[in-house]
Amino acid sequence: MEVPRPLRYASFDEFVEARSANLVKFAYLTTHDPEDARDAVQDALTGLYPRWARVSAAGDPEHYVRRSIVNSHISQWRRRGAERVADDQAVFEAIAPGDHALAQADADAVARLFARLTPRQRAVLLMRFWEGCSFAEIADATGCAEATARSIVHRAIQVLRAGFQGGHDA
Amino acid sequence: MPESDDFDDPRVRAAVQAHAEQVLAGQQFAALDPAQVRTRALRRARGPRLGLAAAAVLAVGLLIAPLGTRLVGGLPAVPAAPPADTGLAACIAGLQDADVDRGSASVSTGEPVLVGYVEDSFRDGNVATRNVTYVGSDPTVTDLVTGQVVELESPSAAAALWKSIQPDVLNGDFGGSQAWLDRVNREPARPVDDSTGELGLVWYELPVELAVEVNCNGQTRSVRVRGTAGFVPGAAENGRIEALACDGVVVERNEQGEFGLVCD
Repeated sequence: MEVPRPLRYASFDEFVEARSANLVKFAYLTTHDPEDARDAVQDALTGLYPRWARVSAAGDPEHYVRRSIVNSHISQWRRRGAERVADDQAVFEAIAPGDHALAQADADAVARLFARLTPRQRAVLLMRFWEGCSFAEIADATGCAEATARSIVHRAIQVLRAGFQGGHDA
Repeated sequence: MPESDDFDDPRVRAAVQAHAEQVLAGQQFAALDPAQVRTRALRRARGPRLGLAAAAVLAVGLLIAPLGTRLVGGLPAVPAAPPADTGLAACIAGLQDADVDRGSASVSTGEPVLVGYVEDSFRDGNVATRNVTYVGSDPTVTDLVTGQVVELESPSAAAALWKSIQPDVLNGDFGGSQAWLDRVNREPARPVDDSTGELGLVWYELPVELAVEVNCNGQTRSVRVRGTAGFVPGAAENGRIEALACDGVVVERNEQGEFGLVCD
């Protein structure tokens, strides 16, 4: 379990040192590409630096960075389109299953199902169920209304549920 | 373990966690060097002058290009919007420092295929505006219920309500060329600068209004959708939308309650 992070940081440097590794992890979970993840965080932090005083005064600057990461990935995904999905699939196929509750077959199915989600859906599901974020936090991090965050989570759940049912019905 | 509901499902939760563990297995994540980030930010801060100059050149080019298309009648038609991943996209890459981003999908002129392109502007790392232009239509879509057609009040009213469409619509999630406005999340007359670029079914049953300008085979048409997007528990998908259309652009709804634009 992650140690609760402070919302205020004394400086930009302190924030980067304290949070960038975790932000890269989040970006990697979203993009599935280590270079894309690092680039996305670099870009987001580069955008944050000139706005540091205002953003950090307004609240947790991590939300700003996450929002940038998600938006950046969505733009990339839109440009790459189907090619990106194919890459994701290859990544998923190559992943060795860990020691977790799901069986191998389920894990493979889950990986395939995740490839069907949009980047935003993937991001909000990870924030909700992996990081335990509230809907308000997800909304803040993704730059949308809380109602929209709920609807995105709902739709993503529907996609996965439909996939589960399809797999078992087949 | 919590029971399944609209926003939680033990199996989905377990799947997400398992997926995250899979993806993260064996990965190490090091912190970035703040000094490097600062240096990069300072370099970028020196860039906007060039970026703004490029933006000005591009803007002039975009203004001139349609004129050229009309004037140079004997030459092959110039697409009204940039094809994907062309030189224009490369030019646009130079504008990143000016917080401008444009994504493009394939564009066709004169063909009955609904395609288009997206222009986003970012403000503070968030999508500030998103303009979507469609070109053409898809005559193959037949399993739709045509929406109610009414007169548009005025083109300026529609222009003022210029809204956005989720980028998914251009990436095949909606059956290729058919653009679906499946998630509407706009309160009436919300200022465009307040846009998050996000569309979604609203959690509460709220009045929504969405307007887009559609480039149908070279003609700009305004379309507006107004009504109630319902997404409350027990009444999911029961929202009603009065589809407004004009100038031969029809707003249609499929069996899933999703909305699309079809040009005549």
